[in-house]
Amino acid sequence: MTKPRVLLTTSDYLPQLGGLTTYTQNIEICLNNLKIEYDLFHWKSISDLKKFSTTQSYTHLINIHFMGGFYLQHILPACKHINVYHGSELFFTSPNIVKKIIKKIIKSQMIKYIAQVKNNIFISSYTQSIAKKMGLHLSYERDLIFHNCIDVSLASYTKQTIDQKITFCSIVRDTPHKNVIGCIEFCEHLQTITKKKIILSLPFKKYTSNIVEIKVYPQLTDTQREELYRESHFNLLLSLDHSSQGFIEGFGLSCLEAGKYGTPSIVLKTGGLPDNVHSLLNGLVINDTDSNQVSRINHLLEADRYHQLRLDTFNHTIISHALSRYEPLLNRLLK
Amino acid sequence: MKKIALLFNSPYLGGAERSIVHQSSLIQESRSFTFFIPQLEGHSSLLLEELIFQNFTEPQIIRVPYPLDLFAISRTGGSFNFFNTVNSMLNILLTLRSYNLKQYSHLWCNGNKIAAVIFLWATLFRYTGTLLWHFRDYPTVDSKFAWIWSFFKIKQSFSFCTIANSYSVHKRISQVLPSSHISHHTVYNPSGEQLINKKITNISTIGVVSMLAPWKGIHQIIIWSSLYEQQLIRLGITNINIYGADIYATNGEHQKYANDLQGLLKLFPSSILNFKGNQSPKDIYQTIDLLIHPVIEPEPFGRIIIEAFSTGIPVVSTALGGSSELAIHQQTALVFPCYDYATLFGQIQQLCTDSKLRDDLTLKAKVKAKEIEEQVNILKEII
Repeated sequence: MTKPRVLLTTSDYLPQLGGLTTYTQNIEICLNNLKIEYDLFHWKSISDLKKFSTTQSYTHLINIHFMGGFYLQHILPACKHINVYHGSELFFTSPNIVKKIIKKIIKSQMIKYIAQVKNNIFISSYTQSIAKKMGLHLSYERDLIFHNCIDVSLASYTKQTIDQKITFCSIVRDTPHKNVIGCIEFCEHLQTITKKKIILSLPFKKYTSNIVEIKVYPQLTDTQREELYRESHFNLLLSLDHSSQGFIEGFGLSCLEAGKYGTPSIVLKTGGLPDNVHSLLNGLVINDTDSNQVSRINHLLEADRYHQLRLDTFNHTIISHALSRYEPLLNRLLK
Repeated sequence: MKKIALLFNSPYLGGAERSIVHQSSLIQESRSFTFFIPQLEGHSSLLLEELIFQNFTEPQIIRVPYPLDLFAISRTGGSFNFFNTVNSMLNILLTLRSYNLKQYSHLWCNGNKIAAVIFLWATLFRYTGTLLWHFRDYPTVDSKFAWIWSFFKIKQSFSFCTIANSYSVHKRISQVLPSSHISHHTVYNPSGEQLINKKITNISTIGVVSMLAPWKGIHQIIIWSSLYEQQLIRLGITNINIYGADIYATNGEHQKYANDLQGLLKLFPSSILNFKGNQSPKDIYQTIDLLIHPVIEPEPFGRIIIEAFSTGIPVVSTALGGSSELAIHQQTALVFPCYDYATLFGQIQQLCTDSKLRDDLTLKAKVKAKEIEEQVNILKEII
């Protein structure tokens, strides 16, 4: 049997942070653990892909963004392609009108390519459903769903109790679909319902509230971020479905980042968030930020219930989403 | 003596057919049943007829020729020819006319395909009895057929009554048929005949019992049994048996699923996983020590869960839709999120090693199965 040799392609990598960078780093760790040789190709534009050349002989191409594989398929025709899909890239749209038109034109070619590869890994069933909507005829032999995993080596259960104040964090970018206004609305309703002091930590200064205390961390360091996840009672990720503009939560990695300390997440029922957060196991999935939905959190605030929720969140995160979960998967896919 | 026409949705012996045969047999006192079974070219109804004979003395069975193209229209996809469909619909309506259905006080339709046709017949021929539409599945709201519900809301010459097999299905029916002149009921499917009674002391064979269709989530089990093969063997698991086949004669994404599963098994091999095909429920429950119910889409009911409950077999389920009313985490079953392979393994491990948990769950599950069995009283009131 030929030893696998992998070309790992990605559109995002350090120093640029984000979901795709983290995913790439995670796959690198697993490939190293499996002692599989690989080279990393970080492409920043389509012309980077078109210019790619190599003297190496690769058996497999793992594309963290499938466009890498789409443009390299003719340059490396003998490689088996394994693509990862995160969500937004499958809408074939872009805020840039020129890119949007190009994507629409080549959409059918891309779907054809996706149908030809060895394996497609969708990070959530929602992501797979987008591909289906876009015209991909699913094959259960080729198209796999495998949820995101994170490095849990520094995970530690942190006990928290709720007294007179409830703390939330929402560590997101300030874009409309991340719905920071919805987070504030949620907290304001909760204050009215519980009469407790509500503190919401955000990474930018822009929003205010007369009811809720908003703590701002404009230059959030890695240490501060981990501290916020650890010390908050809940992580809030109330992202909206802006799929028409290509913005949607494919899975919601921050829920795992918070979960590795036992901090449960409250999410909206959009995109891949319900694949990640399971009501009453590692948080709560709500339909809206109205007071009716917000009141559903009430029974989780009781001391024993909240303690159990934190324990369950921690255990679920470190058991089901540990990075090592990728290894047996990659082992089989690279055979 | 009330004369009731019981109209089957399909000629196969599936869960819905087992349920209605059992339910009707429990209320046969002072009611006379005539069974109408659709006949599809190349498809046998022998098993279904055998079950009817086991439960009724000298039952009256009428085989109704049914156009295959009409039957093959599926909610899950596939194209259909409009003119052929209209032609087939006219044919079946004319066929039904010859059975003098007006002589029956109740037309009890076991599923959506047959109910839609009977509703049309009852409307056209001014039927005046009661039409019971027994939903064994969710009414479709997001397909090319969704518009059809507005037709069923129109007040007719007959009484119109729906029966859901779970509160989850009931909720959806109330949304698509909100009219005040329609009465809605919920009656859980019973487990049927007592198959066996088991006390599980050791778990070595796990069963997945299901038709081979994507929404049943069998692909999850193949991947899982490969990823966790060594750990499962260390736990003492010697077999993971997949029972069932593609029994649908309909069009849709399930058509190539069985082939996909074979391909997936090559990619994710597992020495303990076996495809067993169709087997009798009794044989299945005699063999298995634990049932995994891995559906990935809301299940209207989950009859297989109730069967396992009544036989004393512990259940691990994704508990989506109506099945969440049966499989309640840490009460009657253990529940795992879809595609969460680690949690599924953890729960199997718990059930293999914690006999108290296993006994508690199976005891409560048996009570639940008994409660459901007693729901036949609701049917007596309706009919």
